[in-house]
Amino acid sequence: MAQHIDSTGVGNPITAVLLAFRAMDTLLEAMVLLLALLGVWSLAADQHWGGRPGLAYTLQPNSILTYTARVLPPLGIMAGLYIFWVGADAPGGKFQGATLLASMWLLVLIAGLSKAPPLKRRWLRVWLVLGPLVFIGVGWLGTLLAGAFLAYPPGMAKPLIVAIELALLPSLTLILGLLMLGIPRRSVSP
Amino acid sequence: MNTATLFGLCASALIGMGVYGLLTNPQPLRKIIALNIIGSGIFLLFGAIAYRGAGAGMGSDPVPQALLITGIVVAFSATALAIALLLRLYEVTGSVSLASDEANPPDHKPGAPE
Repeated sequence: MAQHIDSTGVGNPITAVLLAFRAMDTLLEAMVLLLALLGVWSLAADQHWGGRPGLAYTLQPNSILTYTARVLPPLGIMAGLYIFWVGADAPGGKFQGATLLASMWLLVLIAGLSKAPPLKRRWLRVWLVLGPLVFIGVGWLGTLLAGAFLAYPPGMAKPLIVAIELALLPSLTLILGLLMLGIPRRSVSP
Repeated sequence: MNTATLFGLCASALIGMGVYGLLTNPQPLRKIIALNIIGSGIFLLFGAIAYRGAGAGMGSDPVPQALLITGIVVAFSATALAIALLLRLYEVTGSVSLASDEANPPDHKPGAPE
């Protein structure tokens, strides 16, 4: 492992394991998250199918929650993106960054500043599957160019790993946030 | 006793507590929490294994640590799905118990405070 880490172009050994040596695990992990989200969605009552998930939060303009939800997200999003970016060379990465971004999104939703999107929106579904699809696409690219699924062509490992992480970040943020919001409980209109 | 052993023993204690909770508590929510405590113990165990397997100039063995991250994410998604199932069970039946209705009448009605 220590002998081969240089070939990946990634400085953080954990990221190298996750996305180079055991990339299949990480792909399946993203699939498990997506399947869990589908499982949660499928528990919706018939009239709420494709509706907004979670409870309806009312905005209380003078509460400390609203104040925090206005002040904290810029800092939290910066921290999340930083943690995502340093994942190549230091502890961090897409899951950790996505967790922070998702918590900021949930904070804004719980304060009532914004509403969770109805689950039948097409853009939402595109963003959800984008990360795993890019991951699978890179895997097939490895089949064509390097002879094995998820094998990286020599010299291309770092850019491809960054591309996978970049595509997975928004997908994971949405999946984690929507998993926390839970079952669709409201129809689309309110 | 070195650090890895201490972490390992703590991990065993957590797993033991979790198994005890899983076996003795009939409520599904407590079973979910107990399962998460078992999970925490296993994550700690992986951390101890990674710490013990340090070598080749690395602070700790990265393979168990990478598996650990994967495990945490999978445990999170499983817990979220289990909680969603439990909430749906409560919505449909008005009870959060797995016992059959004849033997144990539900102690919760919809709308009653938790």
